[in-house]
Amino acid sequence: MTPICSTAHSKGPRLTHPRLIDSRLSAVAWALALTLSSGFSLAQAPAATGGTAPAAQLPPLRNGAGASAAEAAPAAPALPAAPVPTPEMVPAAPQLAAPAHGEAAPAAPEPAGLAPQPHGDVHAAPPVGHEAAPQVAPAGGFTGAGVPDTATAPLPPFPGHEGAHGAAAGHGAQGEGGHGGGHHGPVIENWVSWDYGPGKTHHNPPFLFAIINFAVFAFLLSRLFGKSFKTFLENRHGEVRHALDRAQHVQKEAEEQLKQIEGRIQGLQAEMDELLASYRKQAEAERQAIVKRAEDEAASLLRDAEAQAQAAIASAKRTLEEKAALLAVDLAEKLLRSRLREEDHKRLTEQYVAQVEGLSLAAGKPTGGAAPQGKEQS
Amino acid sequence: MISGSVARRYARALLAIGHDQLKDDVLAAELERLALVYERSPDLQAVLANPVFSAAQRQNVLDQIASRLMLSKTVHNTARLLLQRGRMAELPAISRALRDMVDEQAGRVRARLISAKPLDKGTEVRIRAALGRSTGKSVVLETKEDPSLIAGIVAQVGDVVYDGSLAAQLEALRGRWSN
Repeated sequence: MTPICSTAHSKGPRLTHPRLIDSRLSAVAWALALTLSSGFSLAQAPAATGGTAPAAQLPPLRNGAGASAAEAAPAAPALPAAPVPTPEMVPAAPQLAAPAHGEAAPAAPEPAGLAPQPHGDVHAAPPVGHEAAPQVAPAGGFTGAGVPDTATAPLPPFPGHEGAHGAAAGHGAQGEGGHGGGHHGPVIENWVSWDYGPGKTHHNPPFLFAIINFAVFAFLLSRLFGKSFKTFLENRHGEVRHALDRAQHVQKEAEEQLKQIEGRIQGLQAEMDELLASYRKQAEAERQAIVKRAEDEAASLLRDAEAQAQAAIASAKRTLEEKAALLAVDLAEKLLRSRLREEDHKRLTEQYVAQVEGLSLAAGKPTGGAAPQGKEQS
Repeated sequence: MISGSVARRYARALLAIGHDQLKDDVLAAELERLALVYERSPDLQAVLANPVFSAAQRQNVLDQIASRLMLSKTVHNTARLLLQRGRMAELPAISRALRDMVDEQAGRVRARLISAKPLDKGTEVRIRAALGRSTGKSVVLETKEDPSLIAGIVAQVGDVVYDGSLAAQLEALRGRWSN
């Protein structure tokens, strides 16, 4: 935002908040600033001559110190200067202030030699302030002495940075001297007299009417925008208060968390020791459990192995017994075939006949019919 | 059993036809001789069952065998009937069925007596008498020698077997250990 109220002598509000860049508020601010600045300029311009408007006759209201330095340094060396508002650097916002300026000085005709630029009093001044620095006398408000009439003095072309350098030099070298020697604050030269202008009693228009003009302007503004502006201020106040409350609340929470964290950090070592002990205990219990499980599994495996070995032994034993028995039967058959004698055959035949006779006697006399089923062995 | 059923029907028919002309024992003996020749001669079986030979040729062969065996007309005609019907393979079964029927009508029972060594007559008589008392019928023994029995005797009457051989006892021992 353009530092429209950066002058040291301006009493206007410093509108720097982004939320205030509203068209209406911007207009109010510009009007207030230009009104006050015009009033002060009127009061500060010591030697306005000619029939030009007061704004055009006065040195620019850029920087009080810079202006005074430029006026008080006719042969300042070319040194780097502070940025001077140029037509390219000034935004379009000052255009809104032109009507206010016009209201502030409705009867002031525009000089023919000045371009009808917005806030021409400001932009027309830099060439004057920079280039005409040797020709423009120090402001009467600052020095209290007469100075050449800047309004009637020929305006050299805009020099650019060279003049700025000269103005900066004047500000640095001799401006301080001017401030230190004759700065006594703004002086109201004309309060109520309409007899002002070049060659007249007063150089400046009456300041009282400027104040009245501003009062009327402020009244109209308050009537037109006061309610919304109040509402805006109340809302903004509420928002700011709410934000502050939230910030305080967050700050309290952060402080509490900080305290908790600090407390936890303090108890961290003890907690770590406790966790370590707990983990060691758990590890020991787990180790013992693993050892026990391993022992149980080993015992189970041993039992299973023993059982399997016993089963294998029993099976092998049974197989051996079977084979031995079969071999024994085969051997017995061979022995019987080789060693049976006729007497043995007769004895076996007698035994068989006796058994058959015993069976027949036991069965008794059969009743006839089908023969009995089955197989009998003696 | 179909073959058994067929054999019993032929045997019953033969017994009914020849009952008036011959004694049942003679009829059964003649048929048994023919069946024995047929069973023991594979060449005869092949000739009588081979369709390459004409029916007349096969019947001529059968006639010559019947004359050699001096079979009665009834048995001879029965054999020719079996040849014409293609039932010569049933001849041994028909012979056994006829024997069983004749024995049953005569009140006899046949027992097979198998021994490792030849039995003397006295032993056979004692066994026949014992089996006769057990069955209540007259027993006809059919003896046979089988050295595989090692020692002892096996008697079979119908479906009942009286096994007194050492081979059976040794086999029982083997089965006991195998189980």
